[in-house]
Amino acid sequence: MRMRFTAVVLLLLCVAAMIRLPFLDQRPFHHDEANQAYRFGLLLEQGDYQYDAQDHHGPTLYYLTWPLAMAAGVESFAETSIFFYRLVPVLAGCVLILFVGLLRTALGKSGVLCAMMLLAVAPAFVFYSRYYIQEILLILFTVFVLGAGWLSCSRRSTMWAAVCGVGMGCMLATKETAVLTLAAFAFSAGILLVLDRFRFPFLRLFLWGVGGALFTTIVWYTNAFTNWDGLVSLVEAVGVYAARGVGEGTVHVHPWNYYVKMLTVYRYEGGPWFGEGLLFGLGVWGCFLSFRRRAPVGMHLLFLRFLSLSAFFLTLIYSLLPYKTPWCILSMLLLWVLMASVGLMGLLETKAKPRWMRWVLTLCVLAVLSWQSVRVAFLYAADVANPYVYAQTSEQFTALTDQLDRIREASEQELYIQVIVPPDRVWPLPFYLRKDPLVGYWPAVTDVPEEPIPDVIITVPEWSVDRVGFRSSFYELRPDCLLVMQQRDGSGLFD
Amino acid sequence: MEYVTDGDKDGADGSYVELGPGLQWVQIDLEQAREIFAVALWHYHAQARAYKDVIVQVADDADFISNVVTVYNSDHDNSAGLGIGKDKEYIETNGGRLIDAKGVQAQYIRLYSNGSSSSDMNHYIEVEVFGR
Repeated sequence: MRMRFTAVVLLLLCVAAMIRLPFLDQRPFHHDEANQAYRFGLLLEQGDYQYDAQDHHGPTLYYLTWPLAMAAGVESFAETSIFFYRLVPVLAGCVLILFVGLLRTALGKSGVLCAMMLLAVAPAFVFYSRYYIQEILLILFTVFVLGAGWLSCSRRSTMWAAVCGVGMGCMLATKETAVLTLAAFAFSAGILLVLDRFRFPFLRLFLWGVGGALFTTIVWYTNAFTNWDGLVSLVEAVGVYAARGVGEGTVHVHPWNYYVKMLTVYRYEGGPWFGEGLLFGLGVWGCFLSFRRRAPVGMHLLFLRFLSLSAFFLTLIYSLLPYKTPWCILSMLLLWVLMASVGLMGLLETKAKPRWMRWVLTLCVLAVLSWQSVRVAFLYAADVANPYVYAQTSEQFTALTDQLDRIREASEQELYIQVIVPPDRVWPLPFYLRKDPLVGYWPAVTDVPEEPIPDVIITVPEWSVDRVGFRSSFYELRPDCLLVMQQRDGSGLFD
Repeated sequence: MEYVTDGDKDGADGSYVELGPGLQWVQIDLEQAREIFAVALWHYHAQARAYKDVIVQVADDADFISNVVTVYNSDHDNSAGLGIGKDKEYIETNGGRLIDAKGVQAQYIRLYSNGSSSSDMNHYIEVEVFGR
């Protein structure tokens, strides 16, 4: 029996890897991905990490990229590639499925396998498992916290409570929005404790958990007790992110139903239909079953209610906050997917009695989700109609990088490239120009030196001036956002 | 193709014709040789984009063999195969692009493009020819 369970888990991991790995470098690097890659490059080349209270999130992504760099023999930023970076979220997206195994006694063997299957093919999870940002790592640690937290409570284990704390520390060291997930967990657990009239001896476990979380957070943010400024910055970040959360000083302000549309059905300006409606619908059904005491066999009612409340509160919190980005949906969607496994198992038990009908229903769900994943991750990977595509670098941006490749090939010497663009339009250029040793960046036209004359100038249309001996072409950075590349006639290609 | 000369210069859906990827052209027959002073051209302009290898030629015959004159060419690397042009790429606006044809005599006008900064496809909203 155990062999069969392990075999199915391995099969699901293979499915998850197969749908996440192909054409990993097909979509151009998003500016956030390039930014994270650049910061990893600093860590790799200088061994230095400094937490920035204003931006970029916690250190885990960079430090967890490091082992991959060592394994691949990568020693400099210039040697890295899009495939290399996106391998990190792919691995995280697969490992998080494995961590669902920690919930075996909460969801039952079948429930765990069902949850693993849904996470393997859930469209948003597939899409963001191919995206070098912190989000999928945050989900990895969230699943770990849920598993360790459950084992701690079900076994009254201080060891698992401390392990859960380590997981919470890792969440906090990954992304600041972890606070919202932990708040939803705490609120839901609080409600269940009140309903239980505090009969559960939670204080000892709570203290071990909090202790573990604090210790781990301090370790991450101080670079293992070597840089206490990181902790000061973390305290400073509380104010920064609180202001951003309520919509101050950010462009990422969206209506309250932004995530609700993504969780149900989503359509952008008459384009194709998207949405996680199937998973959300099954999740809501799972919540209904757990509160009507009709949970599927082998599932722990209390845990299901905790998940239901957490899913509801986290969706509410994110919906009420004006600040919204599409990848934040993963935190709430994780909980809805886990509840969807409850809903699906409930359907299979009650509505599909014959064995063949269970297989048909399961395969139908698998097929629908897989097809949606293929659409979001491949067919519409950089299309604005895709709900998960956000300020994405244009697919036509590769025309600029291809042209630069041609110039490099034609030139007999290293190119001197001036990048004269405002900060909001500079990324992902530093990643794509990482192999050029003579690149200068200027955020204003006034500071640019006239000598020596550059081979290539990359600028924005409003700062572009006609230069004798240069040829200009426009390239799309993002929809409605152009760059101008001016190439000197004597720089190789037009000699 | 009637969108190209229907007088509608709006950038919305239903106002433009989309041609396939790569180098494409549209051609206008003036029905007899005319003195052409200017050609005004509107590609898709609802979004900031620049079309590649914009080439405008005039000729006496429909196959562009006799008396072919290029009045605009922004193909800097001869990727269209019609010669290297010195004219500038430009960003599309609802004002269109006015091209000086300098009174050249011709019956046919052909307008090339090779995709844009946004996609490989080609879009024409309107073409106007000024002459006598």
